[in-house]
Amino acid sequence: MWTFGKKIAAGFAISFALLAAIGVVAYRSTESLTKTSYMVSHTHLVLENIANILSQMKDAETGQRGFVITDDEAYLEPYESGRNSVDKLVKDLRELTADNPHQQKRIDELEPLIARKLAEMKQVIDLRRSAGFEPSRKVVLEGAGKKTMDDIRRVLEQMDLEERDLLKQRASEVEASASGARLTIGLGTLFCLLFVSAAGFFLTSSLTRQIALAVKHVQNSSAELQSAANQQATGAKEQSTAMNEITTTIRELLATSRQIAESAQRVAQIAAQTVSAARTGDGTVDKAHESIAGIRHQVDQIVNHMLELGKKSQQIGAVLEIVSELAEQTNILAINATIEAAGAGDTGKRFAVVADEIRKLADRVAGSTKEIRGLIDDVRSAVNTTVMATETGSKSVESGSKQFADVAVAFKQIADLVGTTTEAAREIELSTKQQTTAVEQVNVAIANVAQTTKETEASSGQTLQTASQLAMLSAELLRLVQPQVTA
Amino acid sequence: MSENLTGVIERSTELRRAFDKSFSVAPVTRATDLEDLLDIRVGLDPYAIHLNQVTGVFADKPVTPLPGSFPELVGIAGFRGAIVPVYDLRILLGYPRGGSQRWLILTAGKTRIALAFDQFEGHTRVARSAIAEEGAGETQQHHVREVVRTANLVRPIVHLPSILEVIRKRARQENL
Repeated sequence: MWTFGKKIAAGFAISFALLAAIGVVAYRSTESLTKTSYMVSHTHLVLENIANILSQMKDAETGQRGFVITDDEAYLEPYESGRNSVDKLVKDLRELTADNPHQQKRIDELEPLIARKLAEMKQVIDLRRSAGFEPSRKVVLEGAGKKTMDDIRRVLEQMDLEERDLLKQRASEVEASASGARLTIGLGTLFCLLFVSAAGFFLTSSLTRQIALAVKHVQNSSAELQSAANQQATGAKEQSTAMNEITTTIRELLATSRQIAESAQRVAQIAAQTVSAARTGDGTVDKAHESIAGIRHQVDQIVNHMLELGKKSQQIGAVLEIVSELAEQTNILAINATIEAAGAGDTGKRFAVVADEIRKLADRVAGSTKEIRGLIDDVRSAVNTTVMATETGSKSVESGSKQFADVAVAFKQIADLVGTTTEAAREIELSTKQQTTAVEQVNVAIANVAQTTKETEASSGQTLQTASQLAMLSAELLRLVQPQVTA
Repeated sequence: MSENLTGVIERSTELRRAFDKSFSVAPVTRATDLEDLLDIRVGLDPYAIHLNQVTGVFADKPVTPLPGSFPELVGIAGFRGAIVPVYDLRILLGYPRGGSQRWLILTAGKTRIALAFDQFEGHTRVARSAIAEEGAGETQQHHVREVVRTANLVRPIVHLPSILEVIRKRARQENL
């Protein structure tokens, strides 16, 4: 995967490599140039040395010649200096040309020549000192010194030539290498420049594209993140609101639970009171039951007496019926007797009187019978009323007794139910206590959740902010990489 | 109750005295300005019948019903060996059917019929001045010509002959 780093690294590596190559080439060229220039300067040194040698020899010869001519020791100064320095110079030369076997051979050839020449000069000088001018001139004229000097010159010239050839060669080498270096450096630099610019362009465009892509992704993601953060913020807000509502509801629930617990407690108390009241009522009912039973007994007795009384009055009534019947019959007979008496005429008058008396008696009896019947009826109606009343009373006593029994049963039921109620109330109390505890726990948990929700809200707000910042940053980044894109 | 008892004892003593007295007293001739009436009730209304128009008063006499078209004919009954038709005085007086026909009176005269009615209250003797003719302005009642005024009420007196007349007419129509 060609990452940014790799691409940039590759570009830079190649540029580095090219630069390094160019540097190496330049360095090499410089090295070779330096070496060549060192060689050139070396050669110049050699040449200088050779020239010095020649010059020293010439000076020596000149000194010699001067002395020969003038016999002035002062003119031997160049000869002395030359003689002293030539060996060193030759040694130096030998050192300088240690790498050149041709030159070494020539130096081998040169050294004896120089020695011969110096010896010759010395000979001449000594001769001049000792013999004077003419012998020395003869020696000089012999030309051995000149020959030697010519040989030295020849050798030195050869050496000089060779060195100059070497110099030319080296100069051409230098030129060649310099031109090669120039070429290399120029082309390389050009190529490098081209490559670097191409690479830079390519990299820039590729990187820009990639960055733009990545930034677009980031923008999209940040937009998504923003929307998600928005949703989260909204959700957190809703959750927070819901939490508030739940908290309120839980508080109300708590309050209600406490109320229920209190009510259950009160119910239990009331139930206990009701049980005791029911027990008291039970006792009262039992007493009432007993008294009712007594009443019933009495009432039954009354009823019995009344029924007996009724029977007796019925008997009286029956008797009275007979009497009444008799009276009626008597009356009818009296009437009929009166009628017959009326029909009998005078004879029947006395009979009519008796019939009349009978009639009167029958009337009296009927009247009394009516009275008695009235009384009997009163008694019987009174008896009936009493019996009915007592029956009604007995019935009501019965029903009352039954009702009392029912009441007693009801009281027992009440006591049982109250007992059950007490149990239930206790259970309710317990469960409401548990519920209160649980609700309090829920309350705490809800408070925690509410806290968490608030934190989530805050953090989601922060996330939203961060997402917005991210969106802004990505937009800026996009603008950085693609200034033409203004979104 | 003790008051009533003493009252009753007093009454019985009084009755005995009166009874005993009646034997000691001389027979009293009946005053001729007294009229004998039988007090009856038909329905709930009080009536009276002249005793001289009646030959007998009977109670609870068994009456054999006869099938017939006369609603007022209750049936026949035997009176001292004679079979007599029994008519309902209620219906004859214009009352709707009903009531008990326990009491019978046997009419006097040639044609003997029995009239049944609800209640027999007794035999009274009133002064003839208490009987008055029924005026035209008073309520028109069948077979009532006279009324008798007693202390507490006015009893119309049933005129038996007119009833007999009606029955005779009916019988004739039937025979036709």
